[in-house]
Amino acid sequence: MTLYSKAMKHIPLFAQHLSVSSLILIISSLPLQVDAQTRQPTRQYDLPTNQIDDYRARQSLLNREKTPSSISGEIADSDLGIQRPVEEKKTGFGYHLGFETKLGYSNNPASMESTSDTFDSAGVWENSLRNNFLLGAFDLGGASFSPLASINFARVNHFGHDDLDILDSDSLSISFAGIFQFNGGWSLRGSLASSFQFDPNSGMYQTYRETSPTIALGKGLQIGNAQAFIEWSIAYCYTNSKAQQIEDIMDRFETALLFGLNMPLGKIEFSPFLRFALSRYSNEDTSYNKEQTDFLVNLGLQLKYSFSEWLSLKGHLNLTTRNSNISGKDFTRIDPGVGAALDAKF
Amino acid sequence: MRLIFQSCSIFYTISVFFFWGKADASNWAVKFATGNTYLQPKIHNIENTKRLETEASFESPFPFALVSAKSSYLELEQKRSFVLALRLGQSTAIEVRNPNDFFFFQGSALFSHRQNIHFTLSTASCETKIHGTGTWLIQKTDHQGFKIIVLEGEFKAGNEKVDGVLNAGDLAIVSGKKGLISQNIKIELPLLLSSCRLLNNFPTPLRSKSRLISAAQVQSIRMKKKYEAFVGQVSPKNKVRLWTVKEKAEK
Repeated sequence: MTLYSKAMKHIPLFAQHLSVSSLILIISSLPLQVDAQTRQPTRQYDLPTNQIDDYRARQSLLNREKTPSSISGEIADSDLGIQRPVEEKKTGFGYHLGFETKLGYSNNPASMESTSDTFDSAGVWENSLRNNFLLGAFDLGGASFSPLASINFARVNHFGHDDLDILDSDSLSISFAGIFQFNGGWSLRGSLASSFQFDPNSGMYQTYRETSPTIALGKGLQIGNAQAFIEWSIAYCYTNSKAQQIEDIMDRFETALLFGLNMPLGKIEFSPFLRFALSRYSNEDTSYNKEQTDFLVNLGLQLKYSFSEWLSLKGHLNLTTRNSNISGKDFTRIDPGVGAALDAKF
Repeated sequence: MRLIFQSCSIFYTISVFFFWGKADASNWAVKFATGNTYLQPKIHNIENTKRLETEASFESPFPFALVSAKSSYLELEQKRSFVLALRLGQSTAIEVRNPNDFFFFQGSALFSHRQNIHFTLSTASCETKIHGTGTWLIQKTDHQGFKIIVLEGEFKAGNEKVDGVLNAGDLAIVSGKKGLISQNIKIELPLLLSSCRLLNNFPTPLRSKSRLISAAQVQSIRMKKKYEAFVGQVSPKNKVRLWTVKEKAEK
């Protein structure tokens, strides 16, 4: 299926309903255990791709503004320092609304060890709407505390072949976080996030649910004009996979180490990141994922060109690999793409 | 009973006679001194001007003067039941009249303390009071008033009838014999912390460093607007001079 035909498929409603109904029939007729054992491609819910976006969204609400580096004359003469008048909000409540659309390519959209002709490449179109709320900023005398809440919605569509529809998904995520910031760029984050995945091709049937309490320790560094960060997180994911016989089979302990850099070069921001994650699955289907332990590596680069505070163009290149002690779970995928983002901060 | 009372009275009189001078003196440790910094006791029957060196300590009866010359900085710590840190900027001369009573001839200073202290601050034609806990900067203006900036903590400044509450990032001008206090101006703390020589020209950070950082972090999160201007000196009418910034300088 081409991009053109993908777009056109939304026009004939009858045909759409027919194809969706057919798809539901096909999916529901598949024996689920067989699906797992024969590695039929399905969306892999334990491979969330938005950690770096979540991190960036949090930082954009908490980031510090740049300040001028050279002032002369009477202003700089004083030992008191440079005194620039500012206006503050009383409590620090803030809201960030962001919409982003990304069009990309994946050489392994189903994240499989060996791909079939059908799933060896795909176009990926992702649209996301982010609502981030900063619920205040409080001085604890030696540390600051900022509670945050967010509600995000993302729709991922695949194109290039009819069968790729099975990978499409809509996801809704809700999260609450409390971030303590300390001297020296250290931060401690506690958060509780829930995400819900729906199948857009079967009447928004909920296919997966995950709730994960997380604790993360981070450090930010200023290197010249660039900002570097490192964050180590520990999370436990409570899951419910409707499409699996054992619904909580994806329950897992996950620890991750995220490194990143934000380097402004004029209007372009150069942001590479590297993430290592180790997942240990708790609930086992002894015939399938006994003592499953996965090691995931994400290496990515984002280039962002800002036309204004609210409009930017983005290019990205992500490399993801997974090594698992379960046979058939290893994979490597490369995802390049471009996108545009609209942001409004209040 | 009468005998006991008489004994106590005599003991108290003897104690006061012997220890009066000590109770009226203050013990200071010089944490850092660079350039030419001096202690000038005002009572003439004890030693004269004393040059202050790093890691020295002195005990001087009130009043006494502390002086730092051009390109000189001085950091002192006074240990009471808590620690009071006092830093003097360059070209500063102050007279310490009583434990919390400072007369400014000229210059600027930083105070940092973790207990509520009632200070009296004066110049030749201005007197005011300030009390609270935290870290704050003070500068004598060219027109005998004060510029006060609170870096962290909370203070009340002004005299009994005219007072204002100053929180982290607040700048206020105090002027006149009655210690009239101006409306507060919010000042950008991250910029101030990175450019303040009373913070950065000393080898050891203040004990309140983490509090300074957290106050600056909270302010930067709460930031609504930055004005394209900077605060300069105070005009003869005790009004703050604002300098606007050209876009080129901003970049």
